[in-house]
Amino acid sequence: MRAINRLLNLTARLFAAREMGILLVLIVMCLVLSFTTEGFAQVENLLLVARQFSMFATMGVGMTMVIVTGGIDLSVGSVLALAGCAAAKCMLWLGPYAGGEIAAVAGILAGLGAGLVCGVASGLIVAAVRIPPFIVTLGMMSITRGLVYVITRGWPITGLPPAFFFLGQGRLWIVPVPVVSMFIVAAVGAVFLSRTRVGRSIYAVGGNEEASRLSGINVGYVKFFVYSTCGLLAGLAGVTTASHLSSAQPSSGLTNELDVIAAVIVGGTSLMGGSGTVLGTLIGAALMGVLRNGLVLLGVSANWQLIPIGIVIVVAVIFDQFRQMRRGRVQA
Amino acid sequence: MKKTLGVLSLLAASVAVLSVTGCWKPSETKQVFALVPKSVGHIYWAAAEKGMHAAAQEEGVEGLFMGPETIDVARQITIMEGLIAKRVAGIAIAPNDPTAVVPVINRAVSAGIPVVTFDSDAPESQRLAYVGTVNTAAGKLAGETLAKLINGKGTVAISTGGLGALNLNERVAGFRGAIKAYPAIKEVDIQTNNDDEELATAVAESVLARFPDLTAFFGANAPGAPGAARAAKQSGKVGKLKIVGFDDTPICLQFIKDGVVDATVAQRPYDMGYRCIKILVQARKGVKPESQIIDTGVTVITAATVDQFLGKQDYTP
Repeated sequence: MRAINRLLNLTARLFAAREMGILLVLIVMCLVLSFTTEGFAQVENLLLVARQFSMFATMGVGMTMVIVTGGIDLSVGSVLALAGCAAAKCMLWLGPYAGGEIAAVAGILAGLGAGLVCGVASGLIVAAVRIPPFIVTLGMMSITRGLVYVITRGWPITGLPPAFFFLGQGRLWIVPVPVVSMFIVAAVGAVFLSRTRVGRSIYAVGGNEEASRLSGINVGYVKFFVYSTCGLLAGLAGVTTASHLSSAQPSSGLTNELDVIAAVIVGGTSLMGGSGTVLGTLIGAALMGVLRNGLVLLGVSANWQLIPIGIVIVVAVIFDQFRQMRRGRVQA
Repeated sequence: MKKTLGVLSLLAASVAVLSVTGCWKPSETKQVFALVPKSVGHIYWAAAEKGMHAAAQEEGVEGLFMGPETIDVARQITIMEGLIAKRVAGIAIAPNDPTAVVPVINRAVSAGIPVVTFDSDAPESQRLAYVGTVNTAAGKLAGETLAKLINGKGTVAISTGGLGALNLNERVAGFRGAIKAYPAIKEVDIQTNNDDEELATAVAESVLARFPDLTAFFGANAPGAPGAARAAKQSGKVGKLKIVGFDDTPICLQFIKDGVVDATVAQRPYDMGYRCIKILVQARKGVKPESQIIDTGVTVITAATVDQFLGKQDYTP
């Protein structure tokens, strides 16, 4: 009985929090689509939609941390592509020497490593030098995309070992593997941000950097940490995408950074820093994914689609801000 | 406690409604056939869209134009998955990558949705047919046209689109095959313009800066030749730099009329869109297409013939 009470309390706390507004928007959208289209409310479609936004949500976890510190990471889309290429090249190189499974694991580690290296580089520069993260990650975006073109010469990298495809194309029971990994990453991220000292210092740095520095928080380390994590998660998204497409595409991740940032902001994270949750980002990513799926199901011509996407982003944020103001919360 | 119960019951109600409405099927008035280009925003695809709508109107069905914002493979697959969920009557797709789309095309076919490819093929998939230009032959034609223009001697640079696209690579291969017969012609560079007009111009300008004595430019996709034309005008090379391109976009034709571009190999995207719908409608009735490769043909347009085509193509959306 006490366990049930605690579960209910946890639920209440979660849902009474800032995410309720955006969750309501998502629920309404799903209901509307269920009534107006016959394809939306099918299990297979919903599972695929979840897979479609899973990588945006995964990168969103890292992006949430970065934005909470008051920064931003524009390089995630390009790091995604670079990680895919690194994984592919590693697997092709190992191919003749090792079995499929070993090559696949090595490739995944190589891709994660590539993402981590990019994140670490961004993190070091942001932490050590007083250049705005916008500029640093803009430069990183260009460098990594350039590396992708150099490595691939524009061609997709194919001929990857089939053992690798499970990560992006496999299912655990009926659930696509990327959806499972998204939930794992989100859970770890959420617990980390709310329960650990480093996690809480991320909020402190974003809320008031000078005050947190004076109270003994190693601001430089916190910033270094969030960008490294963001890079690592972009690396995970990169290898998952390459696995899904059975190839490393040089055009992968193009404009993805905008979708990830949109998911994070729609999810209630403030661009000023200091507040935001992983759950909110998850809902934000789901909202964008459902919206795109809805536009296809409703037969909205491709030429028109970007407009409702932009409108929904603005409306969702306005609705959420309105809710925050009514509850008397301070705008962080 | 009341708040929690309220929230939980709202969630439960939503789930219940969702599952119930999943069984509700509104009556479909017309069959919907979808056309999925490589990306939206270029008038080449607008022509295909127009052809699609014309055929759809004749057949009494509905045509749906649905493509990704950029030549992104993953986004194109996402759209295909949405169309399968929508249970459209047929799909025509111009794949950004010939192998990455194979699983989703096969899924559509298994779900009873006939699929054809157009403009660029995915030969390993279960697509019913490919409707478009036979690209190797078209590239060869472009190569021969260019070789004659430069009298079999000089340096050539190529501007192409998404490097993973099968159709463009076939064109480039055909082109290279043709100029191989001329040992005095040397290919010095190949660059991608990502199917984007702005990038095509920037890329051509960089190539000209690197090879100021370049003899000729081959644009393997629609933005290629106009990009080279703008670069040639910028550096005063009009007349000295020979340009052969692809597709008869109004911009390209105007450049031909102005003497900046020398020739273009015009495809027939309107025909592609038109014939795709016709084939899909027939496939829906159980009639297979007459062959797996349906060649929509090309026309070489030069300054001599450009007036017949200027202002007459189906590019007005």
